Amino acid sequence: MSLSDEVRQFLARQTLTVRGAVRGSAHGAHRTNLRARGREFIDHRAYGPGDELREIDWRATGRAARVMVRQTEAERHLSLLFVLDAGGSMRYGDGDQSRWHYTQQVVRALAHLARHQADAIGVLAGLGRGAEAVAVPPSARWTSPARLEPALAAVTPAGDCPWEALLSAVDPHITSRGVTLIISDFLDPRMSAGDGPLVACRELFSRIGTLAARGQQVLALQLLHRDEVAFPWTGAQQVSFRCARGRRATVETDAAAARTRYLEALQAYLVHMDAAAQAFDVPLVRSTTDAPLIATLTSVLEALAQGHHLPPPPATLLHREGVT
Amino acid sequence: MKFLAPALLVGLLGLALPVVAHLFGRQRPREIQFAAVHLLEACPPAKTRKRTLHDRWLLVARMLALGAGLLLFARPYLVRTTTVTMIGAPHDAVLLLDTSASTNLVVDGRPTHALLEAALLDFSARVPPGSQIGFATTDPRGPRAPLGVSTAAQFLDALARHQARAGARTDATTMADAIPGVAELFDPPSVTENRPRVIYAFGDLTQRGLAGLPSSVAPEIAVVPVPLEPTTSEVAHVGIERMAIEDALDVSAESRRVRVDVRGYGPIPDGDTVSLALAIGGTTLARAQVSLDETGRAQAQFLVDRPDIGATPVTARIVDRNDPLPHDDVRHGWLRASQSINLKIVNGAPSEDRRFDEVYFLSTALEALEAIQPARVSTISPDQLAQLAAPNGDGLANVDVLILANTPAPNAATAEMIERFVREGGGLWITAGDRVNARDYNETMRGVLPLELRGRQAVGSLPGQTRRRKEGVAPPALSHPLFAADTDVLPLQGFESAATETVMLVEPDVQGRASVALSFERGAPALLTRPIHEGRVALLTTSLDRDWSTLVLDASFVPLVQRLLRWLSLGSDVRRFGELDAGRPLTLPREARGARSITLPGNDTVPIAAAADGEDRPRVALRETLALGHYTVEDQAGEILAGYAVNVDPRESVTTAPARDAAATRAEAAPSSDVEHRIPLARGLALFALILVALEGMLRLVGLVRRG
Repeated sequence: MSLSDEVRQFLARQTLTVRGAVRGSAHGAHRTNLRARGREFIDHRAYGPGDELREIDWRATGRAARVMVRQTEAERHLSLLFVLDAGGSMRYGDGDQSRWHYTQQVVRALAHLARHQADAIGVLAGLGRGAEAVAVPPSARWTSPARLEPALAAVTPAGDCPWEALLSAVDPHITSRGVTLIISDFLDPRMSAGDGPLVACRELFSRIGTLAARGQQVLALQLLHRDEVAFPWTGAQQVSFRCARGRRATVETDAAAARTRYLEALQAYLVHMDAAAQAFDVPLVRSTTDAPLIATLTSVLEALAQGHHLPPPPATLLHREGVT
Repeated sequence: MKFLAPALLVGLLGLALPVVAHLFGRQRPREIQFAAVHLLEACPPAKTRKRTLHDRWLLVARMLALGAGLLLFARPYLVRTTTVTMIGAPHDAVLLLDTSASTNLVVDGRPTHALLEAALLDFSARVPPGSQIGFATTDPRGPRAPLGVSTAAQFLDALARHQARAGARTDATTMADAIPGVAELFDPPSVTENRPRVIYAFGDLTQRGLAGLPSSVAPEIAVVPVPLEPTTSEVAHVGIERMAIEDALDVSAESRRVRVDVRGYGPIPDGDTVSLALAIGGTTLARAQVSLDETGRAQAQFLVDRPDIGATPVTARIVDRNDPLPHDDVRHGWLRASQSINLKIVNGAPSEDRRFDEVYFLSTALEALEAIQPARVSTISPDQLAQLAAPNGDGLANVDVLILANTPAPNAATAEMIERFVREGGGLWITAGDRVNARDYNETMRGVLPLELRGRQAVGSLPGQTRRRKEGVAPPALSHPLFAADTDVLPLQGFESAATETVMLVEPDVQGRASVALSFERGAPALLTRPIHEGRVALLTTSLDRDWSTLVLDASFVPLVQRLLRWLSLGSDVRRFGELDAGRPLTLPREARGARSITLPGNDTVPIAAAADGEDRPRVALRETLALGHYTVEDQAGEILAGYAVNVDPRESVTTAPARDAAATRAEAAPSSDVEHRIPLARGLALFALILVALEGMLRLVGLVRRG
């Protein structure tokens, strides 16, 4: 699945910028305040004023008949790590409005942007059985569609996302300052604090906040489906709602009678989530899978540039659907 | 419970259909994989479970209704086993089925004849292989099947067709009377001469049923009773035993009294009341209620006072009672101008001293009988009798019985008148005496004499006798109709004190024309009878006075006179208005010579051709009278010429068994076999299914109302 021309044209006019300095060389597109050798070799260049002697590659100097130094990646690239919820709820929706499809499009678009800026990306997906390292550690090589697509295709969302394990898997990769983009519906996370959705939501954002505290710029992207916002089952029909994560008991109810209560509960939950994100200084972008990808990308890029972001109040979203 | 078509029980698998339909018919909710199920947990649950609980009863009703319907196709029945006697080896058998009127009795909700037919059907299936079976009914008009000709089912089909034509079971033939005719079905003899021959009789244990059966009939045909289960003795019912219509001279000369005798049969409680209704001319005019005494009998009397009364049909009926045997709950008769017998006595030896008059003792006897057998008596001389036969004489019109008491032989014209009178239904009683000349009588009265007369003979001078002596009268021949048991005749004890000195000998009866009712001790006939066409003749071979015999002084003389007059007048009684046993032929009397039609019960009319001039023989208008009720013979102008009341023999009402009958004893002693009686359950099951269908509809309606 490739990006549309419209999105490509949009991305051509965009720049992936972050609020703080990043670790990297002057060759990168991002500011850096760290002088440290990179671990991954990129190329050689001629020795210049200011270069440390230990960076001289004597073997290359011998071959080039002039003094050459090693050029490493960390010195100039932004590390963009995608942390993806790959639980069963991410499969909700059909076709282009499938939540997993939309998630993949966001990843592809930002990978496309990173490639043009010589940034590195990494991908971590949380499957039912645990955190799966799809493309970790972050590397510029993953920005190539030839490498990224097979990695994404290997993930099939199922089960319940193990948030504890998934976020723990991020830890080894935050030694350098980078950006972590967490994409999920955030509707019913499972955390160790308990099965209460409000408590679990608050714990999740607390855990995400610790990443920010360790110098990582974090952004949470909540993707909702239109059905979850509008609850379109208005006829007098019996609907059996099965938990997409397989964790909760099936609820069989009269859809028309349950709609009002559901929307009220959804609004309360989103308000609670916004409060948790704000409390732990986690920028949060909320979008729906039927929204234009460009709009969602714009929100994400703006949030990354600003370093902090909160979505509009949930009531606004629900009011737009004419349900409140 | 068993099934006639058990293979159809496979259809019970169809019971799964309502279950499957119920499961698939249930409104299944749409299923959605949802991410925010926890936000729906506070929503009200669906109402599907509550409705399912209600529909469960609907499902049960549907399954039961379907199951009952499927069982109905399998034709279920209950089996009641009865132990009967049966020969175990191959043999020739005739299955005799009682079809008399008593088989209309309802036992356990089913008519006796249906139970008997079911028993016969099962029995025939159990006869040892190699046996040949024939079938017959007690009704002589019913179907018969010789050995090996038809199956039991075919025979019962033929019987059903016969009953449909007859309309009702009214026959009164006893099983014992039917046995000789049934024995003819064994002719020609069996292929294997040594094979046993048996008549299996299916009936109830009554005197006219199995209890009266002989143990065998010649030649070597055993009669084995197969008693009905359950027994009819346990069924209580009431019936009209008799309806007598007589003159009520104590009220007025034109009044009639109708006496209706009611009797209870079986375990009837003492004091049980029976309501009766009397209809005259088709209109119910009177009702009465009587209580049965300890013997189970009661009598109701109705007084009819109509000076201008003619011949009118009368019907007594038991009403307001659901009786198990309805056929004997009604009795028909005719209310006539007079019930008296018109008696004309020709006194051949009158005397100024009444004690020596030829008819003194006869007149005395008639006076004694006035209360129970009224008679209008006129006594004439032989000359006056001859005047009646003159061309301008009155003849013997309106005479029922003519008595020639020691009368000289009449002349030819008078004899011709008498003979015509007898042939047309009149009764003639000839008594012997000094003035009876055998030769003259043989010459002129040959046509009406029971036997030709040989001559007067003193008992002491009989061959072999050496001195004058008197001779007694032997016990009566009880098989003669004169001595048949009846309820309204005086008991007859025998003629123990009668002594006879002189008798009129008769010629031997080589043709078997006459019947001997009484005979002397040495065998000479004392009283002979002979039916001649519609009339009847009796000959007393001794005198009516004391000249030849003291018979008239015997206590049994009065009962003998009553029985003889009733028998002799029966021809005239039947002549215009009388009673017939159901099934007997209807013969037109002399007075109905101009009859053109007969109106049957139910107002159907049968046309009949007028008699030809000079035709003198009786004409059979109906070969059999199957329907109960009144038969009216009318002329072309619609005037009633004669009428008959057809009733069932009241003896058919007796449905109780004798205390201990020989048939039951014999049945217990014989080798036994079990016979299954099938009691079909189709009717009850169909009713059950209909109730379930109604219940299913009601449940569905209630469900619709509840769901709005």
